[in-house]
Amino acid sequence: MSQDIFPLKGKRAIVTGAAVGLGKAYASALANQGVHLALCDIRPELDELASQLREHTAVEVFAWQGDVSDPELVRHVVDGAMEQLEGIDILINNAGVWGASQADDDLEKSLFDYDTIVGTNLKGPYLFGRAVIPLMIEQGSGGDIINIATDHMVTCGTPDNVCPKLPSCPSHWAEPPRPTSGGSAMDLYDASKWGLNGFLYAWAKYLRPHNIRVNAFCMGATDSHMLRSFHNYNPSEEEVSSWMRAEDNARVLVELLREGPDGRNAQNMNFCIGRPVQLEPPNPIRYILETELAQSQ
Amino acid sequence: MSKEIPSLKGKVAIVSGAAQGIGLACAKLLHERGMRVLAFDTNPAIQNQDVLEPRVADVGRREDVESVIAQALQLGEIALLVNNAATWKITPVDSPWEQVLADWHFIMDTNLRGLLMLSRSVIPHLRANGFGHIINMSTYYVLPAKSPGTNNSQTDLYNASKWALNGFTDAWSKHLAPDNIMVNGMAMGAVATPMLANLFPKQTIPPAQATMLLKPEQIAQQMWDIIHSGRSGENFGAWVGEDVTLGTEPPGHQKITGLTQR
Repeated sequence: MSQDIFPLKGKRAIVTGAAVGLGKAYASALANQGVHLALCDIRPELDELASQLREHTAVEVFAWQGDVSDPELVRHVVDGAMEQLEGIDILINNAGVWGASQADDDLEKSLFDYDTIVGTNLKGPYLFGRAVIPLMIEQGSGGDIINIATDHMVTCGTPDNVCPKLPSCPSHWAEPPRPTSGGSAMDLYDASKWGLNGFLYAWAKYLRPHNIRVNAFCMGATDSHMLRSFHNYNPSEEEVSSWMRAEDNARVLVELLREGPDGRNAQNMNFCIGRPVQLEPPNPIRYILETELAQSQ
Repeated sequence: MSKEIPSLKGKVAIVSGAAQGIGLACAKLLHERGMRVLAFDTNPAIQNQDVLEPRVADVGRREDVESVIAQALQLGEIALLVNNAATWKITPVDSPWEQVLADWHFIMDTNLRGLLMLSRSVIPHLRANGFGHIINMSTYYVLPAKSPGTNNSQTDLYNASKWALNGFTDAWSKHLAPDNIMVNGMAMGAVATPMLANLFPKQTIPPAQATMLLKPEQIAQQMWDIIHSGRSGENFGAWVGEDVTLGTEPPGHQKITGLTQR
């Protein structure tokens, strides 16, 4: 809607976990929009993506390899972005890991899982957010922060005539969302993603006067490195064909960013299989009063 | 409820953060109802609670958690874990970097990692007994807002630590249901506790406000009612200015989210 008012060309974005899957799709889509990039990933394949983007697009691309739960890596990326790109307009907290963990795991395994899963999925976004926010505020030109979460925490409110594949969907818009798809065997993953709500609402409220929006994508099954790893990297064609495409989600990301500072804010946007991957009308924000997001606050 | 709840009398309850406020009220109520209560806290004042089994221990330290479990097992059969210990702190979003790093550990090492350690250590014993309860103390921030000021913009880490508990309450209730172990969250508004009093001058809640707030004893009674309700996997709200009740059991997903509409 606001494509001409808020062009993305020339803006500068950090994308974490950019080497594969959703992160790669986000980075590529942003580069195609003329957004300069500061990328990081724990995987060495990141260099390949960075070279490709430099070759095929007109944007500057910088890349760092490392772990988002490591404060030093975070400083390298954020300080590097400031130095090389002279500013940061967009932060995509995408890096995430999955691991099976459950209530009766032993303590040793659990503390290891805590460091990797909570470290990557919750501490990583915290560190990147807190490193970027003071710089965005000082820049004074607004910005966008997007955290990538899961449909285990926020579920689709789309009626079943829109997503017929899910029998538990509501039959009309006024009904509550379908039950959580969070199970019993990913407790630390689910906790780490639920925890992102703490940042979503607090940051959105705090940053509204600075024209910085904070939103989250609650992702259902998407063809990605992470999801393929669930299936031992050998999913059936039928399985894969039911998944969402990372490129479609990246297209929605671009649309969201193009809304500009008066666009939706503090939203958990749900994407789940069987329904169109598109920018839907904003949902009511239930966990804070919407009046608290008024510009004048 | 359809399912009979085994008596808790003579069984062991572990209450973390029990030196004051909600934790102390819960520990006292459980003692009155005939449980043996291992009540621990980092605050040495816990030692004055001599009707309980008091212990100075930090839920964020593995060796302390292990010693708590060892003592609890000597007292008898563990039937209840009240995950109450928590830290709270203003953590401004534009803090300097060194503060950012320190604040993560100040909040998360207790509220999330500590709670995980204690729970993982207790759960095998509950499973062995074929029965038990876990209560995760949370905040009304995780239920739909009724007034301004929830999800305080100055306490992002505290908020995140409590939101994260939704993942535990949901997953544990599902995983442990076959073992007859119930797991619930408690999502209370402002309670007249020392944690809250610390926000006021002279660490005292002004009387006019104190009368409006929830009382720790109300939360303790609600906890007792939850345990005897047979319900599991739910965040129970308690609101300033409203009666503290369990309400009717919501369906499915609403148990955690509290959402009754899209």
